Amino acid sequence: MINLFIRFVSHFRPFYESSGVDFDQFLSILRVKLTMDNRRSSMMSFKGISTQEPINSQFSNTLIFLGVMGFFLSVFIFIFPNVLMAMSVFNGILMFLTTIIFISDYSSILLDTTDNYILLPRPVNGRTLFAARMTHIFLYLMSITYAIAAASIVVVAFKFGLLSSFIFTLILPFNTLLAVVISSFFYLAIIRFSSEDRLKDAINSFQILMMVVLMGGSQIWPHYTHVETGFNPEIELKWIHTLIPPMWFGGAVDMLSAFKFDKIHFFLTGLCLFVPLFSLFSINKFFSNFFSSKLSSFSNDSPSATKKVSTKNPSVFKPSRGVAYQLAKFFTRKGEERSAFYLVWHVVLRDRKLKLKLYPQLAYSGVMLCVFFFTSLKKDKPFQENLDELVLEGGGNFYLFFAYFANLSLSTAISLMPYCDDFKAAWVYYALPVNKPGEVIVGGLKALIFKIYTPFFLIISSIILSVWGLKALDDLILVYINSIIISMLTAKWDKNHLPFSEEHTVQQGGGNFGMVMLMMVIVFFIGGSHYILATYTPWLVPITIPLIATALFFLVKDYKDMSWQNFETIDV
Amino acid sequence: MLESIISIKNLRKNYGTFQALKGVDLEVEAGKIIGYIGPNGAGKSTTIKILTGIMPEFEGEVHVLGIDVRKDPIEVKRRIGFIPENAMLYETLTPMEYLTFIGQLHHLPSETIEKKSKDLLSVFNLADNINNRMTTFSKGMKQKVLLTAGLIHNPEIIFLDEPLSGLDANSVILVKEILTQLKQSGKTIFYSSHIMDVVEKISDRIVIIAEGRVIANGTFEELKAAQSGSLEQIFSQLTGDNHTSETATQFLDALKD
Repeated sequence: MINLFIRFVSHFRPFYESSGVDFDQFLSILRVKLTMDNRRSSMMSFKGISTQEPINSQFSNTLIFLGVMGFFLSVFIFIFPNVLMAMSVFNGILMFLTTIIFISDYSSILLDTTDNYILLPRPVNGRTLFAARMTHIFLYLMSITYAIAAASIVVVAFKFGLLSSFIFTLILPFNTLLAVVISSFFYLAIIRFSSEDRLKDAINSFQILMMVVLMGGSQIWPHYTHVETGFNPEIELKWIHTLIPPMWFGGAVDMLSAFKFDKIHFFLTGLCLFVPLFSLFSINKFFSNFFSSKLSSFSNDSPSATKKVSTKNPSVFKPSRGVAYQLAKFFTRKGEERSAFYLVWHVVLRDRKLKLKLYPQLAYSGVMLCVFFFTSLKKDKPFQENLDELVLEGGGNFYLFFAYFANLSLSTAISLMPYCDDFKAAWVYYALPVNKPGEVIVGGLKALIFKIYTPFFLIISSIILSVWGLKALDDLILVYINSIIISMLTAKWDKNHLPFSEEHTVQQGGGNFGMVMLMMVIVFFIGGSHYILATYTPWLVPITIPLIATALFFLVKDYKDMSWQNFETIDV
Repeated sequence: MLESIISIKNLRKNYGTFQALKGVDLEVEAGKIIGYIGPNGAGKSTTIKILTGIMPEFEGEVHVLGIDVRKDPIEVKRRIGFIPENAMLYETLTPMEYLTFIGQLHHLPSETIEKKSKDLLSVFNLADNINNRMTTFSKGMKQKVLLTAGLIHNPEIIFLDEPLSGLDANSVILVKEILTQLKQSGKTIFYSSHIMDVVEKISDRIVIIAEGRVIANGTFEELKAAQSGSLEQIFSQLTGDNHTSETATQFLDALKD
């Protein structure tokens, strides 16, 4: 795989060199990075267990999962009757997914500072370093794109012929490139123009903004561009279409497979090939020069990074007051569980990479929620009337849909909990007399439930209660308990990881996204059963609550009783 | 006086409102060993980061090998070696893979890299581990690989940040000897350390920095003429912490419940 990637990239030597990249250095960096991706470094090696087994399987699993998702997405190829629209829409979806995965999972690789002391003292210029990182990310995202598109390539071949399918396969890298280049352009611009002190906050705000724009855009866009015209087999291309990037790719496939060599098709094909390359060339030329110098100021170890913890927060060492202390006192048992609770409570919103990954996901769930709410309203009616209708819709239980949505935030947080830049600090778990590692996990999960999920859930609940009234209360309680059960089950399914004990890896990229998607499916089923229950036998809901709560109790107990054996056998 | 190989004029560096360096002036002659010492947080690492071109944003004038560090950091990096303190290297690689990587970044031919790595690592008794992943290495073993990586391209100046940390007694003697011989072959060595008796023995010049300012600069004899005692005592007097025994007592008291 590594050699394949290296050979692929080697074809582009003149292109890299013309933009000021030292190609030999570039190849060495890329090769080393790819090699390391295949080797896991976790605290398990501290316990003397050899982990020489490649972790390629992690990424392969992600690819398989995304492939299955792509299978369902290939429906879009079926429903559009002509090549142009089918290809435009599908390329649009791919571009959208690539951008989201880039922002949530791969931007931390672009801004990685952990190897500053290895790379920055060497005579490597900013362009070379930037090119190496971009290519590294690009290779992974290209694999992801092909995994998602695999099913569609077959469908296109059946429906529009082998030639279309062939052209489609060929232009996919350009699609990925465009998504990667445009998003990293924003990152570079922020790095270039914001001051050292503001950089981290600027990046975080940008990620959230980007998620809001993307999610909102993807939901609202179809409402305004009349996708319906796409179902018409004879769609006429207009010059206005050149403003929509997915149409470039649609146009390119259309031109080369249906032999439509008119001006506008030529133009679209030109855009699809040259815009990605040209933007890559220009950001490398004009922005990346500052890259390595800015990275040094971005690292965690410069004193500028020392953030004073505000005195309002109780310190870990003297937790006499404050929310964390009160919650810990009531909900955790003294010892391992409670200290893990404090640990996760304090670290989760401070670790830079965790924030880079967590914030966009939180924003994502928030925006999705708003989008669902507003698209369920009808345009031609006043707001109040709409609201009244919504209250009555689906047997008056439509709110369950919103309530379960808050679960996204929890599942994201849980899927990220094991990862930390300072994963080596996890030696304390092994050094201290920790008898039941399960308690550590439970403590961590509780912290996430209270810090991330509960605030989110409370906001949604208060909105629901004010719209639907008190009758929703029992349902909301059930939703809360169910959500905790769902996330605990997924955390368990995802193997047992101690909080902050694993290195962030590239291979995990896309995996978080996949995990969240899986959670959504589970939530859909449990939420669906709840919905049926609430609609047909509402009196059963209050009776179900104690039953489910008992189930939760045993689940937590089961977790806590986990011994070290469970970790070794599962993890290695 | 000879032309300085390192020249720092009125160097200032701020992190936000925190002033790490408040106007450092320093001239270093070629072929000398410079011991750069100071309390934690005095600005030692910051100075070294600026000198090695890692941190290009600062105020003042800094020339290394006659090159303006701000203008051409790459050329500076090409001709110096830097050995960082925290045993930072790609641990999942083997020493051979790591050194090959570093050598390639310096455009060394692959035969040279292989020969040099093997020779240097066997001097450090690491010949048997040359193809083992470094995840299982002790801190001292990693430090040896780092030293090798910093010297593989035959640099003219060598910067070391705490080069002796984690090394066992024999290795400390070996590194001291290597530094002295490097000096004899005409290299300049600029290093920071907390191990005072080592600094005292091998440095030609000792520079003491505290709170972002150079507070002493001279040979050990010159320092002794101003303040008597061992370097450890001089250091403690100059950097203003001469209540150490009281502090130690307080520390032990705090341990009791």
